This record gives sequence, structure tokens and C-alpha cells, in this order.
Amino acid sequence: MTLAFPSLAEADRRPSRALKAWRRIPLGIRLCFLVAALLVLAAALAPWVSPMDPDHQSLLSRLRPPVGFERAKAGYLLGTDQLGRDVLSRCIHGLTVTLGMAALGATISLTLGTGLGLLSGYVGGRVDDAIMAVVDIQIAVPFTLVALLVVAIAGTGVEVLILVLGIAYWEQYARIVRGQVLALRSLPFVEAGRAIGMSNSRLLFRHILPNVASPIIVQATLVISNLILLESSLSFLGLGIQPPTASLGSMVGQGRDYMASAPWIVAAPALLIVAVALVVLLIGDWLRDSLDVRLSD
Amino acid sequence: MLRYMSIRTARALLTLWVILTVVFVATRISGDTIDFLLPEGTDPDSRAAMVQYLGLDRSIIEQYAIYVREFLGGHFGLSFYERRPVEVIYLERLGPSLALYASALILAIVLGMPLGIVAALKRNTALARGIMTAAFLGYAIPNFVLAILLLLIFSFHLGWLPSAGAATPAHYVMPTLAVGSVLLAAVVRFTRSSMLDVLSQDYLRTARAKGVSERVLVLRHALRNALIPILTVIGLQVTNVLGAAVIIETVFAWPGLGEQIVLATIRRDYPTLQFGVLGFAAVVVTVNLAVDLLYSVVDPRVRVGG
Repeated sequence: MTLAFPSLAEADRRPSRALKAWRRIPLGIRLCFLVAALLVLAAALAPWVSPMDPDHQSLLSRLRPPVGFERAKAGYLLGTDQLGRDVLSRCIHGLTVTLGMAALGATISLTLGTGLGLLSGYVGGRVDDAIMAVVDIQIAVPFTLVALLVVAIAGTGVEVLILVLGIAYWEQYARIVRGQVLALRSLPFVEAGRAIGMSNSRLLFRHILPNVASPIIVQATLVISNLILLESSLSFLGLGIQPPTASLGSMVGQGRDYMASAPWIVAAPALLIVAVALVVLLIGDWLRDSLDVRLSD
Repeated sequence: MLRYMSIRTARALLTLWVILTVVFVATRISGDTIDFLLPEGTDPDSRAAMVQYLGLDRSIIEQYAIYVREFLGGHFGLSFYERRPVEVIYLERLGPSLALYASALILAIVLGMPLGIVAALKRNTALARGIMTAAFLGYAIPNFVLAILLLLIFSFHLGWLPSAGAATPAHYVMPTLAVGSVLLAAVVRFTRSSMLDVLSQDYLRTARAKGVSERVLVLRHALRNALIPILTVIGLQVTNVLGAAVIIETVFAWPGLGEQIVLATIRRDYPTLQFGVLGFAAVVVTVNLAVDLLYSVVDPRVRVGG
């Protein structure tokens, strides 16, 4: 550690802290972040960046293959589907729906799970028992089945889907947060806070919660990739997003009938799902290593 | 010991009872089930007769009491569509599903453990990196997307494998891969890290110093000790595998339990769906209970946490 202070002029030429931090990230992960940014940007600006209206049908140019193949039609980069809609534009809009749904579900489950986990770990006793009993039950049933049950009962609406995604993985946050709070509760800095008369809410939100942040962030990446998968699977079965709106999963599901004659209708959204899942998981893996979080899987 | 076992068993039973109740309440609050059942334009008299016939005119408490009593008596209800006991419907589909789960499990163990061992022994080589990259891909690619991609390549492009059904061994290839991919990846990853943990232990150095052959060392001394975490991972993945299989069965028109559940959801066949959800829950709860009890036998420290 040197104590030499750089002159002002020198400081100006130095890369900023953010840039330095960015350079410390491995190249592959930097690439992942770039791809993720690109995907989010495309999803957010879908109406402006997609070349065509995703719902515009042109029955004269149905089932045209992507550019570079025989019979391809100019302007339709990834070809057209069974109704003559532009596959690329539908993919971009589908990405918006898929990412938006996952983000909504992740926010709901994060809030719910962290809140209940804090409560469970901090209050303890019967409250803890009750919350953990619910967690046990949630673990006992494969969530795909719960989702099917909810959809069968409540129907296939966007609100229902958001509800399903919101309650799907809250227990993962709850278990992690509870465990962390239990470990932190008896540490000196919390006892000191209590000794000087700090209120419970201040202790919880200002002192305990920040210490739980790293495992929550790492878990969030896992939850988001799981949510993308859950939403895609439900939409794929025709039980999630309903037409004419499309998510990547429902595009794969609806294109299945044309797999023999027009594989690109299915391949494009399927590969996009793979790309999204890969990027999210790679970033999650890297975060876990660099934040040094050990999660019991 | 006995106390721990009875507490765990009681909790498992309680969990199942709560799930039973939640499923009951959920199917009743959804408005009139009868509307899904009867064709449109049914006259009010027939409708009332049907409501009475199905016992839907009784109070909800009464319905619940009947439901629990019948369940305990082994009567799980009649399918709305097929008008026969739901357990019979599922029993017919049990065989194909079990065959699929078993082949996915065998794939994961028979292929996953050797790959994991190789990745641990030859670490920092291209081979090991290749294996781990493949494992990461298997872990990251959603099961149903893998199923679709396999279908596109091997059924529609190359025409090597049949795309639907469960008639011949060839029918098993793609569904097994699609159901087992995540489990396979998990087994590879955990075998590797578990082996790496064990390989650095002192007793292995001792064994090597004594002149134990490398082959015996890896298979007898290291693998045996690495086995417990690997088995744990397989146990933990049971829920995921069952969930994934539901979707995969639908993709490949596999005549199994999962396809029936999805069908019941689409048709709103509540008795069938209800039994399917409870059946899967019972399996998972039982597996977890068995794993817990086995641990407590193997490792007495577990019991204290109870």
C-alpha cells in the first residue's frame, strides 16, 4: 500500500472508479452484462426497435423462412409465422412480456419472502413456527402443479399469472433471510444496538437487512431464471399468456404444430429463452463467487 | 430416536392434511364447478338435479367432512370427463411415468458420476473444462426448451427419432434426456466438487503413501465418501424432476401421469387434478421423510436439530 497522492492532473487522466471496477470483471462476464443490457434495452424499447407490428398479419407471405434461405422474403429477418407475422418482431415483444413477467414475479417474491423471513428470524417463537410450516408445505409440492391448480381454478389471466409467479419462489428468500437473521441476531453489533435503545424496526432495516443483502441478490438471479422458466412453461402449455399477446414460451407452444414445415417459428424464441437463461445464470454464478456467498442449494 | 421419528412423521402427515384442505378450499371458492361440467343451455331443473346428485347443495363443512372421510376410505372421486375413479385413471399411467423417471435417474447416475469423477481427477484440462461447460449448459437450458430443440433436430431435421408416444426404446431417448438433463448436470457438478473435497483429505494421502493403486483409491476410498452429498443432491432434485416431467410428458405425448394432470387442468377436471396434485405431494413428502429418517440413522447429530 503506497501513500503517494496523485496530482490533480494525474487524477484526471486516471480511469474513474466505476470503470476500474468494470475492468476487474472477467471478460466473459462483461460480455454477459453487455448481452443482458442489450436484451433489456430491446425489451424496454420493443415498440421502437422491432421492425414491424408484431400482430400484423400478411396472409400472402405465410411461413416464409429466415433471410438466407430459399423463399425468404426481404425485410423479414427471421421469417414469418403461420399467419404471416414477423417472427423477429414477435420475439422482441415476447421478450418484453417474458422479462417483464419475471421482473414482476421476482419483485413480489423478494418483498414477500424477505419480509416474512425477517419476521420469522427476528420474532421467532410461534410466528417462526407458522411461517416455516407454510415454507415446508410449499417445498412439498412441485410448484408446476400448484401453478396448474391455480390456473385451473382462477383461469388464464395476466393477473393470475403474476400471482402465480409472485408466490412461486418466495420461500427461497424466506429461508435464506431467516437463517441469516438467526445468525446475526446474537452478534455484538445487534446487541449493542439493542442496548442503546434502538427500535426494532431500525435494527432490522438499517442494521440487519444490509447484512443480508448479498445472499438475497445472488438468490434473486436464481429466482429470475426460475421464473422465466416457469412463465415460459405455463405459456408453452397455453396456460399462461394468452394470444394475441405472446411471450417467448407461448410462441414456442403455438409454433409446435409447424415444427416439421417451419422450424424457425419455434427455434427463434426457444434459442432466445436459452440465451436469456444462460446470461442470467452466468451473472448469478459470478455474483455468488465475487460476493462470496455460500448458499445451501 | 423414536421421539424424533414420530415428530417428523407427525409433521409430514400434518403437511399432507394441510395440502388436502387447501386443495379442497381452492377448488370450492372458484365459483360454480357445475358451470364447467354442464353444456351450455342446460335447463334449470336438470342443473338442480345435477347439483343435488353431486352433493354440491350441502354446506361446505358437510362437503369437507364427506371429502375427508371418502379420502381416508380410499375413494378419491370420479373424473368429471371419464366418469371413472381417478385412481384407476392414474394407475394406468403410472407405468410409463415410472419408466421415464427411472431412465432419467439411471442416465443421471450412470453418466453423471463418471463424468464428475473425470472432471475432478483431470481438473484444469480441456476435457474437464468441456465436461463442466456441458454440465452448465444442461443446468441452464430449461427442460422443455431442450425437448423442443431435440425434437427439431432429431425428429424433424434428421428424422432419426420418433416425436411422440412411448412404444419402443427409441421413444425413450429424447424424453429421458429432456427430463434428466438438469439432474444429470447437478450430479456432474456435485460429484466433481464432492470428489475434490475428499481427494484433498489426509487419509487419501496416507492410502496413496501405502501404495494403494490409483484405481482402488478413487473408487473404494474417495468415491464412497463422496457419495453422501451426491445422494443428497439427487434427493433434493426429486421435486424439480417431477415438475419438469409433467411438462416434458406433454411435449412428447407421453402416456404418463404428468400429461394427465395437464389435460385435467385444461379441461378443468377438478377431481382428477386434485388427486394428481395430492399424489405428487404425498410422494415428495414421503421421500423427504425417508431421507430425513435415514440421515438420523446414519448421523445421530441430525436428531438434535429436529
